[in-house]
Amino acid sequence: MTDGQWTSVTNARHGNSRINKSSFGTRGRIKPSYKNNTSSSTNKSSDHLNKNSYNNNINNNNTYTFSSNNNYEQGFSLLNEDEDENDSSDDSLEQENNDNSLKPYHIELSLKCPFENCQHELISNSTKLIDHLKELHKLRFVNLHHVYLIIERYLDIWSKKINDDNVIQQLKIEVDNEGNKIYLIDPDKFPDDKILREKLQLDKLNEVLQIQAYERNNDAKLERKCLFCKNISENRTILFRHMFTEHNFNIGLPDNLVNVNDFLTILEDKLNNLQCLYCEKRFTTPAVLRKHMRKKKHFKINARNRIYDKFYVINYLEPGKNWETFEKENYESDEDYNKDDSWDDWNEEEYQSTNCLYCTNVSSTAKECLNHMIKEHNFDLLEIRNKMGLDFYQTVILINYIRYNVNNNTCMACLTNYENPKELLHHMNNENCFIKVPSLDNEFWKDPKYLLPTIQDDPLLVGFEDLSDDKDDDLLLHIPDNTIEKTPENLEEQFKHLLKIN
Amino acid sequence: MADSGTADSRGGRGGFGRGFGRGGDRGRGRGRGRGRRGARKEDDKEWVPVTKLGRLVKENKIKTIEEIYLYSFPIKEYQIVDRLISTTLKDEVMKIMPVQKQTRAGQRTRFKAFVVIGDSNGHVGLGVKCSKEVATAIRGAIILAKLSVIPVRRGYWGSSLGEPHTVPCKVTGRCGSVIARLVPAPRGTGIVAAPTPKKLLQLAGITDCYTTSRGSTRTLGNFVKATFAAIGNTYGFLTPDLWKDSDEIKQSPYQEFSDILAKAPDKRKS
Repeated sequence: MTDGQWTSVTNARHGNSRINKSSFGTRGRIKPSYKNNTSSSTNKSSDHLNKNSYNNNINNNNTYTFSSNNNYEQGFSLLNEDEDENDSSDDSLEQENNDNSLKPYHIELSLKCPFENCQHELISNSTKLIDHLKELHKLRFVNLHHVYLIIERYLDIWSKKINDDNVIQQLKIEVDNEGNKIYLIDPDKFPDDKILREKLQLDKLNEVLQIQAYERNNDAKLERKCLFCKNISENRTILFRHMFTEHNFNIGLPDNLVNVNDFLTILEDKLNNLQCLYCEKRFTTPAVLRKHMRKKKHFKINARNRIYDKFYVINYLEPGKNWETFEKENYESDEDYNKDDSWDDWNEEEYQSTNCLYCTNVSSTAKECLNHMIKEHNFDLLEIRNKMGLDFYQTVILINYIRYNVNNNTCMACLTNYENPKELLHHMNNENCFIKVPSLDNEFWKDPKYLLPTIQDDPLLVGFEDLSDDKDDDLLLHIPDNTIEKTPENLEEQFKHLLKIN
Repeated sequence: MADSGTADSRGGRGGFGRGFGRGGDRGRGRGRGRGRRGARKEDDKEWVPVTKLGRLVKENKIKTIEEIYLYSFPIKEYQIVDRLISTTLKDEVMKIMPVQKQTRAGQRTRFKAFVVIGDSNGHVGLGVKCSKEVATAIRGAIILAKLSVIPVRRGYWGSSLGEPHTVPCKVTGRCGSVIARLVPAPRGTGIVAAPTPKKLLQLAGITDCYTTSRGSTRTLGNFVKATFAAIGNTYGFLTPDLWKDSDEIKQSPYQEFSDILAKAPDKRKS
């Protein structure tokens, strides 16, 4: 029963504010309504009037009056201060934006126009940019706001393209109000532009993901103080969780953000400048700011402010789609998730800098290093391995032994010591000590210290056994040449012979 | 009566106050703030097991994950792994990459997360998941990785002093065109491998190991899976010390605890 009355009240906007007030328990307002409601026989939705009258009762007004305007207004006047604040919680932003003559995608930038015939002045926001491009360079890009995240590179490339006559011929021309001819660059009609935009976006996305990977391993493990209280959290996940549970402040999961330190610094600066994060009004002292944010529940960021777009990874996914379009797309196929979960997509070249055994050359893979050594020093590790019949462990020992000796500027064959690497190399070149691998009965083959890698993370140890040469070994049948000439009967006899033996 | 009324009202209003807070959240959510999805308030909802194995684990009838491996039960709920080895499990995101798919309405790009999980003491798992948001992909990949946790057998190189530290024998694994081979190494060698499989081996609890590989190791996805297969083969290799058959053939847990399983699962109190 009481519930029903509560819900009816919540529908009314003023009822809203009432309930908030009462839940905070501010201003010593007594929880009035139940007694009132039970005593009133009406189930009017205008319960606020009842409360009103109760308040008036407290204020030494003994009569129940339901519909007299006086009391209504009086009661409301008591709430005036709070009411104003609470009333316009979500609506104020609408009004502000309607009042603004700014376009919806107005955003602060700072870039120098790269086109020729331009003074390269610094342009501070997007509206100015569009105007500048239109007036000075006679260009109009369709949907330029789709590429704000990559605007610098995009304009750079276009500044070079525009000098190309072929390109200019393909562009459409439109005539604006004053009769000036303006070139129109539209990705839908000019496919090169679309490809360019997508490529730039993908590059930027990969960069952003790399930055994020770096942050995940390094920055996210540092401590940081909470934006709103004195609590210091050990790492970023804990910090975000704290801000969510304690202050109800939600800016997203840290995994979805990039440059989080910058993001948090911007928010901190705003708070230090006594500006509310959500409605961006200024206040006089920190205490007033806090009170405002607490009352209006403005512990969130302004969704309309496009400065924050660049901190969210989802905005980099496709040109022209920011998180709002993804929100709306939520109903789209989340269902075909199983097809995409293969491991084949991940193609990445891992470059491990491999040092040559003898000189200071550094190669990017072990295979290159082996080739270098064959070319420069006439040292073919694989051949030595085959010739001497070294197994896996012995090859490892050999490599480590050579590295150890070269570190000490000693020749492995003659065991003579030299002053510096150059002399050693000189000696080895002269005597051709590269191929003079000590024989198998030498002591070092059994020395366990050479089983441990001399250099930390030596890629040569990983890559020396690259058996890609005999990759087809299993598949091909190695028929020695002489058998091909033999007649089938001979072969049959041979087989019979073998069978008889068995 | 009046008191109970006020108690109710206080409770009601308190509840309603809180409810309104939540309603406020939802209201905010409906607006523009929701695009930035944040941490869910109730991350640890009570787990209601759906499989028989899950129910046994929840009742603490199965104490170690080794019992599950002994009978080769498939693990279909990640909370099972959580319960049994949650304390030491550490996950690491190996790569997030964007993948694109052509649709009628243009291209659709999503994030794919590759995650490896392990406790550095004999259990590893690999997971991959694709999703629109990075955080969702990572979370999904972690769950899949937990479902794929596998035991790792470690052995000694020379003398069996101390704890096992290396693979018990030379093992290979292959995936696609990549063949990965793990070779036992003496104590103190460390893991001699390419950076990405090295992470996998570290999380498996293998301290010393040599590795070699063959095939197109550029396809890191296949390379990692081949190493994972090699690690899995450590328990697939019958060494002489395993020749002795375990004499007592115990009952499978499903039979042993059949009475508990027969009880209908507690329905949620409505």
